[in-house]
Amino acid sequence: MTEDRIERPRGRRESLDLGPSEPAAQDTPAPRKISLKIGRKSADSSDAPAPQEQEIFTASRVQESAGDRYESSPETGQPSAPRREISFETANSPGASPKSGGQRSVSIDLGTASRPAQQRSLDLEGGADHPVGSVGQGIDGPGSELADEEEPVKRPRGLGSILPLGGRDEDRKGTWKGTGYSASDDDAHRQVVYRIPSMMTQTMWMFMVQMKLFAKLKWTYFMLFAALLIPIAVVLASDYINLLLSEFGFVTGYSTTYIAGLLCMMPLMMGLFTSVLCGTQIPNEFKERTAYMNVSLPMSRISFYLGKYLAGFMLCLGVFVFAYGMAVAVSTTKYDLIFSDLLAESLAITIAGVFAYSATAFCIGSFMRRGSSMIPFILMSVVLPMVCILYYAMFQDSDPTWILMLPCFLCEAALGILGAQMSGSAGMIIIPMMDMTATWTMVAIGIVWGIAFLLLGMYRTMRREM
Amino acid sequence: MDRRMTFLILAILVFAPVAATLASDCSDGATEVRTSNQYVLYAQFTTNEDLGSWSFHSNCLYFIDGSANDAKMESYLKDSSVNITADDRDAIVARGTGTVVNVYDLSNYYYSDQTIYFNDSQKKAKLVLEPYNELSFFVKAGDTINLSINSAVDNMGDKVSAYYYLNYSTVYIDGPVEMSFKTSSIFKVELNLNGLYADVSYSVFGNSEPSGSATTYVVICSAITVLMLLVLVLASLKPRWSK
Repeated sequence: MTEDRIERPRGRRESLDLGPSEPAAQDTPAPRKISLKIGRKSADSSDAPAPQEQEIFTASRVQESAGDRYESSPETGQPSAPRREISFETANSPGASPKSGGQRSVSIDLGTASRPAQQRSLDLEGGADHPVGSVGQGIDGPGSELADEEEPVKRPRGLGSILPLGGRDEDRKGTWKGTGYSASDDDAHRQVVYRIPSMMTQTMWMFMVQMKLFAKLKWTYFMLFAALLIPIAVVLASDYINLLLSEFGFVTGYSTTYIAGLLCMMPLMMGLFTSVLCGTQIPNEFKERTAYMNVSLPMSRISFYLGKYLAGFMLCLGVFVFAYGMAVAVSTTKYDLIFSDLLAESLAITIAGVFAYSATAFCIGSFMRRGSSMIPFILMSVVLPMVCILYYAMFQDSDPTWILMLPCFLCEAALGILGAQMSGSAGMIIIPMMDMTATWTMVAIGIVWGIAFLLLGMYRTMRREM
Repeated sequence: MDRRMTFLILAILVFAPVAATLASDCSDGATEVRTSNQYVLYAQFTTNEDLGSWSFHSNCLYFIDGSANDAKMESYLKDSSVNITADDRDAIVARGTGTVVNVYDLSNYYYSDQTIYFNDSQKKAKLVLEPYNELSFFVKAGDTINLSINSAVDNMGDKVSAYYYLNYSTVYIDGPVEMSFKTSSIFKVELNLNGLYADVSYSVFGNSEPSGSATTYVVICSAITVLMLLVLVLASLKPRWSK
C-alpha cells in the first residue's frame, strides 16, 4: 500500500486525476490505495485510464485518528467483492510527514471493481483534455461529467449579456452546493465569453437607463400634459381662446398663424423643459452617488455623457413634436389647408432649437455640483434674449440682425416663419425685426452651438474626478 | 427590431418634414372679390311719429318689413353674392306712422351691448353678419408682393379707397404697390367702406396660398410622439435579469 502526497496546484482547481488505473489483482483482497493528483493533466499522458476502468463508488465518512477516511460501500450487494480505497492526503505544511499531526489523510474506498450498470458516473478529471476519474457531486458540481466534453461556445445570456463583467474569457465554474443557487447543468457550465461592448451599445444602455429614470419623473408627464392642454383648451374654451388669439393677431385667414398662436408659449416652455430634463441629469448623478456605480463598469465617459444627453434630447423633442401635432390637429378644425413648406421649416427650426437648448442646459449642468433647472432656463430664456435685444436697440442704426440669429431666438424664428408677429417669451417683440430669409443659417448656428456646448460639457465630464 | 433600423426610422420621421418642402403656388392675374369689413347689426322698429322729424343715418340701411328690398337683404345675409343697391328710405317716408321698419346698422366694430337708434327709439342690436373676405395676402419671408387695385366700389356704386399700414401710418393705394418682407407677413388692405360691401378688382403677385394637407403633419408628429412613448415604456419595463 502506497500513499502519495496530493499537491494542489497554485492556480485554479481544474481536475482531480486518479492516475493510472491498474486493474486490481484478483487475489489481493486488501484495499489498495490509489494516488490522486490534483492538477492539469497533459493530453498525451500515457497513464490515462481507459474509460472502462473508471471506478464507481459511494463514499461514507469514517473518522480516523490522523485524518478523514472515506470508506466506500459497494452497491452491488456483494460484500465479498474486492474493495479498493483512494486516499487523499493533504499536507498542511511542507515539512509534514505522513500520518503526522499536520496532515489530513482522506481515503476513498472505491468498492468493487465491477460497475453497476445503472449507477451514475461522475468524472474526477475536470481537465480540458480528457476525462479520467470520478469523485462525486461535491467536487465540481452536479453533472460534472458534462464539463469534460467539448462544449460549444454560447452567447452570453442573463446578467452577462447586460453588464460588461469582463473583457476576456473567464472561467466561471465553481462550487455552489449549499448556496441556494439553482441552475440547470447546462446553464451552470456554460462557457460565457464576456467582451467589452461597443461604444454604441454602451451609449444605448445609458440612453435606456436614463429613459427609465425619465419614466419615473413627474416632469415628463407634466410636459406631455402641457402639450395636451392645447386641444383641451380649444375644445373646452374655444371662444375664449379664439378671442385671446384674435387680440394678438393670431386668428387670420391662414392656418399657420393660428398654429403659431397655439404654440406662442413654446419659447418659454422650451427653455423650461430642456433645463429641467437636461440641466439636472449630470448633477443628480453625482448628488445621488449613482455616477460612481458606473466607474466599475467598462463604460466610457463619452458613452455615459452622450447616452444621458440623447435621452434628454429625445424626450424634449418628443414633447415639442407632440405639441406641434396637437396644434396642427386643432387647426384642421378651423382651416382646410396649410403651408406645408413653412410648417416643415418651422419644425426643423424647432428641432434645432431643442438641440441647442438641451445641449446648453446639459453642458451647464455638467459644470455644476448641484443640479439647478433654473440657471439654464434663466440664461437661455431671459438673460441672453434681453442682452441681445438691448444690444440690437443700442446699435439699431448698424442693423445688427446677426445677433437675432443666436439660438436663444430659434423658437421665435419657428413662430415667425409661420406668420406670428409676437410670442410669449422675452423675445416677444423681436419677431418683426428678425430676418427669416436666413432661417437655415439660424439652424446651422443652432447646431454648431449645440455641438460646441456638448463638446464643452463632454470635456468637463471627461476631466471630472470620479 | 434592430436598433439601427430603429434609429433609421426615427431619423426619417424627424427629417421627413424638412425634406418634404412643398412649393406653394402664387396667384396671378386680376381677381374680383366681394368683401366687407362691416359688422351688420339688426333691430326692428315701428314708426310712430311724423316722418319729417325722423333722421336716417348714412351707415344704416332701412327696409320696410316684407318689402322686396327687405327680402333681398335677408337673402344677402345668407348669400353674400346678392346685390343690394338701395334701401326703402323713401318708401318709409311715404308710408307714415305704423310702419314696421327693419334697420341694419353697419359698423366697423361690435360689442355685445351695442344699440341701434331709429327716430327717438333705441333698441339693442343683434349681430347678423360679420366681415368676410378680408383683403389680406400671405407673403413668405424673402418674397416681394406686387399689388394693384384696379377698381373698388361699394354696393351703392360709390368708389372706395384702399390703404394699408406701414410703420403705424396709413398709406393709400393709388397705383401698384411693391413691398418686400423679411419675415412671413400678412399684407392687409383696408377699405374706406361706408356701404354694405365692396366689389374689388385687383392684381397681385408674390403672395402665397396654402396648398398642403395638415393630416400628413399630424400623422408624422403622432408617429414621433408614439415612438418616444414606446421608448419610454420599453425603458421602464423591468429587465429580465431583475429579480
